[in-house]
Amino acid sequence: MVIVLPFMVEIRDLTFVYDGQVKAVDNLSFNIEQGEILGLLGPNGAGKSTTVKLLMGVLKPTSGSVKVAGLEVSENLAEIRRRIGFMPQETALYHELTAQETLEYHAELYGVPKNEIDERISRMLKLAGLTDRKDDLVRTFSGGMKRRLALVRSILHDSDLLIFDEMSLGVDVQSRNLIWNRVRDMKREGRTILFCTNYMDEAEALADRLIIIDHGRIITEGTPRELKQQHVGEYLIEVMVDDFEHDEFWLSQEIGLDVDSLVVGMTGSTLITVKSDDGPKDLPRLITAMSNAGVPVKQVSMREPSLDDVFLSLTGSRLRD
Amino acid sequence: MLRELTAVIKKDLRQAKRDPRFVAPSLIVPFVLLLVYSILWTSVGGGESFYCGLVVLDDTPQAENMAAIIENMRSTTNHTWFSIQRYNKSEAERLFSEGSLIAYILIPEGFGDNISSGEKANIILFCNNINDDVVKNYIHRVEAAVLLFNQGAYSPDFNQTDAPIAIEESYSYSQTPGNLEYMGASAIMLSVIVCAVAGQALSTASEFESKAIYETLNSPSPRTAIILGHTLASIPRTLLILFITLPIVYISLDVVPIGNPIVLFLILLITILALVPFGEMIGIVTKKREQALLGSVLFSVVCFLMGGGLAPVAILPIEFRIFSVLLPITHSLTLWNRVFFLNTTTGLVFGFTALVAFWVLGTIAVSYMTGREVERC
Ligand SMILES: Nc1ncnc2c1ncn2[C@@H]1O[C@H](COP(=O)(O)OP(=O)(O)O)[C@@H](O)[C@H]1O
Ligand SMILES: [Mg+2]
Repeated sequence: MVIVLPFMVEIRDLTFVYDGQVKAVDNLSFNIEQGEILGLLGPNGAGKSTTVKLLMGVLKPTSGSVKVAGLEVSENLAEIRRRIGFMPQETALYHELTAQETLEYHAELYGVPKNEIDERISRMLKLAGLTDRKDDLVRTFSGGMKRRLALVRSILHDSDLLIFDEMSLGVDVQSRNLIWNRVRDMKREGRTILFCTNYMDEAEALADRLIIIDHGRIITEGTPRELKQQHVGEYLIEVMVDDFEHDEFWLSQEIGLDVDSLVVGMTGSTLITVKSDDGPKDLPRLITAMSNAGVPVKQVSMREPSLDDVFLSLTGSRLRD
Repeated sequence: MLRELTAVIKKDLRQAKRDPRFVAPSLIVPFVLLLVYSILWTSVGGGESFYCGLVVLDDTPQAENMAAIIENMRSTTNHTWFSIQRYNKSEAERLFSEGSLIAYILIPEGFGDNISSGEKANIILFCNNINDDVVKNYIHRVEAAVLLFNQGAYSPDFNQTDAPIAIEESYSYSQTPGNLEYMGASAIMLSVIVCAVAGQALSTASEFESKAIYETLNSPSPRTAIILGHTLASIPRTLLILFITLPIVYISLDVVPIGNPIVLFLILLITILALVPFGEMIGIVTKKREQALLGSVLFSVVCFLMGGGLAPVAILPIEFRIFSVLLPITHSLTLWNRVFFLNTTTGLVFGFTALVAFWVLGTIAVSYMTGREVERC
């Protein structure tokens, strides 16, 4: 017998328009499988937060459908919200409550069984590294502490689907590491996770699969590795030259490799980025070819491409301008 | 539902305890107004702004004499004075019943004949005795006119039994409050009003400032439980102010309530319920704590002045009166001041019904506004 599990999240032709004007989400379709950790990567204003608000039922779709565990969100709000742990971009913490009270309040609103509350809260405080600050007002917390508290608050009611919007926004390096490790733990526990970010290192560090969005539309999707191979290649070679007077097309012909970008710096030197599938072999060849073409290389380096390079290659602009 | 309700109440009260800025305006506003009023009443008086009607039904020279005395009298003190305005009988009756004329003096038919034939003549003062100080002013005026008419019959030998005109004073209410007592009672109500509005506005605005409102509204809790929780939390938060205002008013003005304390408490309760939605709306619209406080003070003071805090609603122009009826504070003040000084239950049903209606409509409006706000975070 084959049991077909429904997708944890099913989004079909989803569109959302703010105030009849701003099309923040434009005909989006994607699924999230059970136990998967999916990253939604895109620059500010891409429509990530709007997408997760539609998933939470905070916003009602202008058109299209959003299903969580097979249930249409807008028709099963209370049920859906109990099944989702959501950390909003704005943390949304009460500044006049203590960490302990914040979690107690959440437990009551989400109907956590009374006899489990104390145990769960002390576990969450420990996870967040806030045990010794539990009786301090949230008002006195740093950005990282607030984010950690918001994170454990969202998992307090023990849901299978977790949604984190910009989990490391305004957070110090230690908090960021702690948060990432907690997210990995949750993945290990078999939970399904959707997170939004505009940090490519975060996307790369955590996601099984990535969806890159811009202007409310999906640009591409796949594992981080797939995306880089598909759109950039295995390696990027960056060459610095002086007084470069040709164009990309000419150079591609001369060296027999795909030129990704060509940026003229302020000092008059030009940074040329070249895609390569076999860096160690292409690098010396490239230097020779350029010298032969009358363009002496001043400086050269090779690196693995980043997701930012994927975004640049697809949209012509950087993720974080 | 009960769990969420309790959680919201607990959270709201903790917030209020840790950010009690709403208490300041709740104390400052009423006592500043009280001070301004005491200065106004004692130094300026009512001025010529109060009208007293005069209706002369007798066309004898004696009646004309009396009317002339009443019209030409001048105040020698700083006390409340008023100008005399002649009306015919039906017009005076109409204005008086509408409330736009506080008092009128009637010189009845046969006045002159009675005096000529040596019988007792009457003049009648119709006076809406909402306020003891006002009533006394009118009575003194009539008394003075009578003394002048009965020329030569001066105190201490003046014997009313021999006088051509007799003064018979009878009140339909046993006691009415003086201006300062009235203001003292109003100050207590005003502190509760400001506290209810400002407390809720501050709480809501601070939820918007920290965006924490989404933690509550995005939860599975029904919105009814959340809004009801806010309302219930506002009751103890607001009533606490009475521990300060009641003693102050008692010590400084010696004012104690006469009416039924349970009814008075119910009036405060329904007032809080009716006003909390307005505080919440102010919080939703301003979204900043400072602006929310300012907005609440403005709202409370304007409504208080419009709603009978400045002058009895009944003597305001008709356009204002219609507007006043649309403000919850008008009904609260009317109920409060009536029951504060009289052991009565008349007019309670209408006032309570109006306030309950404000509560229900306000809550519906708040529910709608919150729904819209969530979508535009
Ligand atoms: N409340 C709102 N009203 C109107 N426009 C909005 C609102 N929130 C977001 N937007 C617009 O919708 C687009 C997507 O925003 P958002 O989903 O927040 O993007 P992201 O989370 O990817 O940064 C942006 O153009 C933004 O300006
Ligand atoms: Mg966002």
